[in-house]
Amino acid sequence: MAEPALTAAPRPVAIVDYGAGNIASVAKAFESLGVRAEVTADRRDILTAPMVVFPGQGHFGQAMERLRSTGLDETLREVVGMGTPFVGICLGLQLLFEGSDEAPGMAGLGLLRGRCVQFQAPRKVPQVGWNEVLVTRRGSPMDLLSSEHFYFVHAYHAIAQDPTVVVATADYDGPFTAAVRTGNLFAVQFHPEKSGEAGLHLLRACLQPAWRKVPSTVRVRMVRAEASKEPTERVRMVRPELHAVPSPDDRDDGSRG
Amino acid sequence: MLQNPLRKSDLPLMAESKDQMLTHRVIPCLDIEQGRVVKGVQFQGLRDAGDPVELAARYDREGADELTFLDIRASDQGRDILLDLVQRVSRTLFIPFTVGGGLRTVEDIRQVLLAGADKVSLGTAAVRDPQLVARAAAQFGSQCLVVSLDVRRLEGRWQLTTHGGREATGLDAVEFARRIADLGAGELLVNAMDHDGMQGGFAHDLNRAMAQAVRIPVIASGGAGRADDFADAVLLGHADAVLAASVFHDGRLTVTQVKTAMARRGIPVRLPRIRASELLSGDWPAPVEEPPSRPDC
Repeated sequence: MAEPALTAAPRPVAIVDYGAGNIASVAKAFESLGVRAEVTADRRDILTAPMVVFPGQGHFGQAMERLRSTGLDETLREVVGMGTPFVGICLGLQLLFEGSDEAPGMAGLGLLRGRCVQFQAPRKVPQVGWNEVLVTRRGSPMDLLSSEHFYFVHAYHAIAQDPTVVVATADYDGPFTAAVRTGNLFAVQFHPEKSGEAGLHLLRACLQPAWRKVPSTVRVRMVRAEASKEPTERVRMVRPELHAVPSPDDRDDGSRG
Repeated sequence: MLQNPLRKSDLPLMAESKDQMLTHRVIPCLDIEQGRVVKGVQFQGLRDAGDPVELAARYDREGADELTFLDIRASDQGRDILLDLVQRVSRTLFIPFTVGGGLRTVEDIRQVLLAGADKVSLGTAAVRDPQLVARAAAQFGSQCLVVSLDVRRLEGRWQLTTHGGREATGLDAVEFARRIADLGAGELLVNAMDHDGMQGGFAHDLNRAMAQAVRIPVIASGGAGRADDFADAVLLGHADAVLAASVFHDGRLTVTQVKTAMARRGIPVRLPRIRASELLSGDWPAPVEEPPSRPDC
């Protein structure tokens, strides 16, 4: 019997509050999935949470200053080290790296090797809108995608030193990192809480225990690749069953999409 | 307009984009007064045509990329009603939405963002006090600031107007756009007041001039009449996104129809997955019966 999804966990998902933008919508997204989530800056809440979400919008430098002055930077490193499933969103992906051109000289959390750079002309900056994400490596919640377009709003993007941590890319005048994963650490450049049903579906996939135990080379069912070719019913959001692992494929009609 | 009967296999699903790309956004704008949607047709399936939450859900289902709520009779007294609406919308809507109408101070903006809006739209206030944009950008970040410019062709040039297009400012619209982008605007909403409500197409010259002048995204508004107008706005006006209000509220076009027209013209758009039955019923134009083919006599 598969391990129950995190929806059965007694403690709420911790959504880290460090003053970086309006993150209430992240909490609301989990609520709509029937999952308890709490916006918190409390060290104990974060360390005891079944899953930690690290969201963020705004300036890399200001965010790092906040994380340092509150001690949250250490808490985050600690919770990642504990093996707790960790999901970074937007700035929350960028901060995992060593630094960003947005704040020269300011170190990031350094959990991933690499830096963030700005989109170059002639492209409009920031990139605002829905872009198509391509899964390039298996073994992350991205494997359970219901559709490929997600909402991006960002001027900087991460360049990972180790390409094997990149699990998805999108294209904006050239490919850029859309999602990374290593061990229990997973982060996306787009905003799942602003990406409609596709985003909610991905957040639910993050709640599955399977992804963080899967080494990247293991074969996982690729829903996305075939999904766009056949007419299908729209994925309807269904509250996950508390006693069982929710199916990643709500429209399960037996076909592989 | 479609000429052939719709067959299941013909139905457009995901856009056939060979390259992944940033898609062009279609943004319905809902006019709000006292927390209710103004005018608009009673769509099938809606219990309450005036309920912004219901209407928002409908546009979301149709594939809207974002929504804008414009408080058309914005007043300080009506602010609480607006904030309540924003909170209700943010509980069930999981695509980005922008709120505008009468926002004048950093505090106004803060309240709206805290209530759950992703972005705010600043109009007259940004023209009167451009530094407001800089102050707001420093507090909240440029990504949540849309500056809305009402533009008219006056005395041979594109000029900024305020108060719903009624008051001329004498300011050059494109020049102001550059300035406001430098001050921290995240996006530009360009309202071509001469085209607005005429259903004669968007102001391509104006939109192109704006697109060339700034490095931030430009949202075209004013002139939507046919689904193809939206495609023209992108191809001829170089708009990054297209916004329209009454053409959707009056039920003349659906977001799906607009995006399908854009996709047909090769524009990358995000198309919702739709069941065949949904496309064949409701707002989609009735399929034209094709006579069975006959051999030449």
